[in-house]
Amino acid sequence: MTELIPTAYSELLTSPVFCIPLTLAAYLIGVKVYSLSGKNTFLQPVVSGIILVMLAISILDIPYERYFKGAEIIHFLLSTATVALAIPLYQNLHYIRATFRPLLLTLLMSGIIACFSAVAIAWLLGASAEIMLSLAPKSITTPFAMGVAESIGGYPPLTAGFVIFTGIVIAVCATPIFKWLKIDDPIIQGASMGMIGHGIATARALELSSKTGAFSALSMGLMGVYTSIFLPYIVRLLK
Amino acid sequence: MLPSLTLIILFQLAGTFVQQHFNSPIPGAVIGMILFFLYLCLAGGSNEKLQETGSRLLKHLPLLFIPAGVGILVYTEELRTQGIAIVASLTLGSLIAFVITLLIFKKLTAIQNTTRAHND
Repeated sequence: MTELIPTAYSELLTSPVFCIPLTLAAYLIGVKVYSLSGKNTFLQPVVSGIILVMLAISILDIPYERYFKGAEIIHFLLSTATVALAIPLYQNLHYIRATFRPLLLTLLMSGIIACFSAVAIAWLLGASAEIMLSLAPKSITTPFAMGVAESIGGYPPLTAGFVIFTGIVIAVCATPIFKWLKIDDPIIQGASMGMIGHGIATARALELSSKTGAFSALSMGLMGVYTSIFLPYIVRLLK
Repeated sequence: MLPSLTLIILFQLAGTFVQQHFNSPIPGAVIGMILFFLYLCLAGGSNEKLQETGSRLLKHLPLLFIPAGVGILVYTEELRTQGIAIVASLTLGSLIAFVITLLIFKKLTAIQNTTRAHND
């Protein structure tokens, strides 16, 4: 499709001047679609945003590496935002006093179970090592998960997709599972949603009650830090 | 806003430095977050400006995943050949982990409550 775009413009199409507004526009359309759909969990703004940018760069024949270079400042800010996650974590920390020991013990086990269950099923079905390593951090929030995937030798972009998929599964299935297991404590509900379903399930937890949401946000942060610390060392040991 | 943003980026730098210096497998941004968290504990919390800058950065967090997420394009072959393993792992694996987490937390809370009642 190169004839569609005169070569004189190819330089412009791979520069930040084009790649940054392209990314912003795709995201803003994603946000609009999400709010118009009544915040349908399946229509996460990031999903529409990624699909729209994929379509745009395929049509304009821009190689992914050159698009990424152009939009790199946005990717840089992902690390900055990861550091900033310390602020809500600090603010939510006082919730832990109510249930310090059960929460931390559950976290210690849950982190390992979340990684192990995903990797074991993928292994049984014959997935490659790189795919298993990309799946392992799928229960932690995207900025942590991508960093961990890169560090352990997975594919960070796939991990980003896996994390979003996981969050949607938990957000959609949480309330039916609570009914099935007869669990009505907002602390248990929220903490488990945050531990396995990170930010997307936290958004759902906030709809249940503010207490559920606060415990989900706290658990998401703790799970992110915990998994980011233990998983790279376990993988290093096994290699 | 700018002093707060500078402070956060300085912790990002510190995290990246620690990660490279010790050749740590923990991502630099996560180390930066832990250092920033320790700073908040020592400073006795965050001031209003820091909170405002933080919430502005985090408000559009999903936007920041897009450049990396578009990279899925590069792995269409893996997704095509291993799609079933991936979807099974993500759905079944996450649901199993979720149910086990709920049951563990429920059990541990019950144990804590009975010990408390016992001690009272």
